[in-house]
Amino acid sequence: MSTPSPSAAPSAPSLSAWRLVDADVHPLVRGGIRALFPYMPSAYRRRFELKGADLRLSAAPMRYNNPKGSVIRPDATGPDGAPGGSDPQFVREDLLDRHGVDCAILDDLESGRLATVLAGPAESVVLCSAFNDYYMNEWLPADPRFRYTPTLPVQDPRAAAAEVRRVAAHPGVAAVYLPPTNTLMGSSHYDPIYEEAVAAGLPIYVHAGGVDGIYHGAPAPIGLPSTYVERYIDAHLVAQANLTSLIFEGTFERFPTLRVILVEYGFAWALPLLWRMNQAWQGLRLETPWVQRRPSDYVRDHVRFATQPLDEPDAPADFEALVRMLGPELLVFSTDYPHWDSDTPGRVLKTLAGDVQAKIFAGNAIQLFRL
Amino acid sequence: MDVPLGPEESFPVGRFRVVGVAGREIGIARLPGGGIRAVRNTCPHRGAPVCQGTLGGTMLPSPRGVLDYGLEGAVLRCPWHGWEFDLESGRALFGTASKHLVTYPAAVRDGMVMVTIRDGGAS
Ligand code: FES
Repeated sequence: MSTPSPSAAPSAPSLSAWRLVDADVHPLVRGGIRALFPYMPSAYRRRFELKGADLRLSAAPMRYNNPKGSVIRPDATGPDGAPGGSDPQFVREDLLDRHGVDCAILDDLESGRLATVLAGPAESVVLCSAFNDYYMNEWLPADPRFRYTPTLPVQDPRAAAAEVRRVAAHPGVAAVYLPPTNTLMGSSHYDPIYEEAVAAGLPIYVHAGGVDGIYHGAPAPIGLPSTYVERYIDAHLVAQANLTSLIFEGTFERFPTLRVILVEYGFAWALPLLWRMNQAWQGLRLETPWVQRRPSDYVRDHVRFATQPLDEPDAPADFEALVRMLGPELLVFSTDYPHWDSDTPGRVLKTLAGDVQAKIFAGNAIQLFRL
Repeated sequence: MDVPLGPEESFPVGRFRVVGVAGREIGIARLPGGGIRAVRNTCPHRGAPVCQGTLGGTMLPSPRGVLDYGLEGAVLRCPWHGWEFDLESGRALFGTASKHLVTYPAAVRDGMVMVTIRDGGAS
């Protein structure tokens, strides 16, 4: 668990030419937990062997299995049968080369689920570190267009802060991935993490988890949906509650340079939320006097939304109006490759004006991730 | 125009093989219950290589709590967002979408798979 070598540093192509940044690409560890063994202390290797531990793509119970069998697109399977997202060479061909992606932000979901609830707190510290070293050593050198969001062991905020310190210097690190839990993000539980992220100049990257609403400790939207489709549709409730918490706990007053990106929650829900937050703040401000500005102003200064999954209103003009009302500067394009509901570059957002597209497809991401 | 695409045995049963015809990618599949289908390898939703999806059946609309599996061999499900199309007509099933999958008349003549392509594109 040494400091990762900066020799893996990608040599950045010229920024001014960047037209397409993808803020959400899911790599997969190939070969199960054994592939992580070189990156952890031997006693922990023994522990995981003795436990019969392995990584599973989906930690969901049968109720929430994707009805089509897998969340991974069958056409993203590598030439040698590698599951979609597990072969860096194939990801560069199938996503980066094919669609002209200049920069892809990698975030691993298996580690996020383990970090949230599936591994114990001490195990998750070791696992996150091993996952992070795996990707920094085995993916970042594979292509200068890859960037990575190291997963933080969120159950132990001090260890998570130490992990931020450990990985921050690596030039391929674009943000740190904070898997959401049932402790809302405005809680002081996270302060050590925010402190380090701010010191490192790294945004906090929050992604819909695979364990939400299933396990105690994971974020719990209201009720227990019966099916995958209901759970899928309401996934953004977690982001909504966390955003409200960040604003009304005064997080951005405590950390004036903290930046957050909410990923794979879509964004259509955000506009009425901003309206409601502003309106509630006008009448109820006295309860949370540390909220000193209009909630929507904090959001503009500190928060970005990754676009996928894009909503598809019947009239395309309604979508354009939504983007205009919310503000295109808040949106960062993402595909969610190789998952079934990915948004493919060249196929989406085409009706937006050129300058709006330029912001969403590249400009906003370059600013946020300081690419 | 009728285009010969190859001997019947060169096309798999229950899944598609994609061939290039007059600048288009066309997927040909033999159905497990007999018959042959030809579709354009482009999903009308967002352009996925739809022939890499699943050829099979699906759950028919049914009352609450009742599952009724049917249309085996008549449905192509897109590998991306999962839209389902009637392989014969190209229509999205059950009114789920108004966009059509492009389909082509296909038949086997003297052991050879023939596909009919109209001028300007598709049926
Ligand atoms: S591209 Fe086929 S369903 Fe979306």
